[in-house]
Amino acid sequence: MTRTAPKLPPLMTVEEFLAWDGGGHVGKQELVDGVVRSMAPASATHAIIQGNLVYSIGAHLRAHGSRCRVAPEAPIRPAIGNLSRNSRAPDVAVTCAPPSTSKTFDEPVLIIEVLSPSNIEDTWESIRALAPLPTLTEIVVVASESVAIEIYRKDAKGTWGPEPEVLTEGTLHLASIGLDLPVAEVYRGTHLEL
Amino acid sequence: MNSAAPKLPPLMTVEEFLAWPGDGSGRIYELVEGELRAQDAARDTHGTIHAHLARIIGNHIEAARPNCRVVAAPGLQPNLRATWNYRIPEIAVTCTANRADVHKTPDPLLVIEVLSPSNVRDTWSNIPLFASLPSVMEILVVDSTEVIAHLLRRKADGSWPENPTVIESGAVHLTSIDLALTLTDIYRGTHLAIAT
Repeated sequence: MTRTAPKLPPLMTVEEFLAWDGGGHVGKQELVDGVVRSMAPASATHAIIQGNLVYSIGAHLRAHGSRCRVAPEAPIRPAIGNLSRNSRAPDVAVTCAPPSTSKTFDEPVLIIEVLSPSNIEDTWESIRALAPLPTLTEIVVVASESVAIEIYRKDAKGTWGPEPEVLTEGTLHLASIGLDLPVAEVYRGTHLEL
Repeated sequence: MNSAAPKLPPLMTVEEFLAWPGDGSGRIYELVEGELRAQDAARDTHGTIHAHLARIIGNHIEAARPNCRVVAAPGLQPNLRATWNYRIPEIAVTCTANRADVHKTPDPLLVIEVLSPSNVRDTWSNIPLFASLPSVMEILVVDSTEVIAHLLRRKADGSWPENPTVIESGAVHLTSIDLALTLTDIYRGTHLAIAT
């Protein structure tokens, strides 16, 4: 390994990142300590799962007249660290904060990530960066190559439980938004469909 | 209970990782989401700073908090996904008793990292893990190429501040152990000492 530091592009702030055209990259991009982190474009299965989640959660929120809102890959600032140079974009997120002119998706109560074996490390880095956010009470991780959904919840003291509830069938109880979501709905329309 | 996600090689659990004999080079590895991540080989400046921190904090603790102890290269597991993660910061202080045959350091109160240019992102990616441990009150990140330290201190309501406190002169006030650690002390004996 050479000792000469590579000449890197200048670090970006979140504002610059959100105004940037993405450099032609197809696939999710996040800003990690001022450096763009690009992920491979989602597989069709991943994208369908994401669509199913936004649809099911969105329909539920509207049916109940909830002021909470769901969005795919919205930019969220992490809880700790250099906030001016960091944003993450979980596959699905819900906030109940009132609409504002903020460029970032603030005060999420629920985030959902869809996992592929190739994106585990980056996705978990993202989840960990957002986990300390005080408004966040549930984290859901959905496998895209098998039927498996993990739900992480905070305990009464606000500490994340070490082991998730794992579902391969049945219903996810999402207390953060009062939704009971069948596992079958998450995988509807994919080859994994139950 | 293990994650239901398929365990593909070469993913390791913490149990497997702790039983793994290493790659023969003596290089320290961390376990990151089931994958091995090597730490940098030792650097002279980094090692000098580490030694200062351990000595000064160790001496202070011995006098002021005799039931606490400093641990070098402590093994820490996060709450989330503990089965697949084992991270090793520079130094931790714990006030929980040491027991025989235990790998990981319990209930860290203070965690310290030392930054080198090649480990910046890996090191900062560990910070939220440490912050997620309920016992951790302060996290200190000391730079080894310039005179600068970043301090994160948990607030009374349990949350963390939006941005770390940046210290470029004077002292770092470690309220978790009631110690004012001067930058002069941290960088003494290194090429950076002139700047303090």
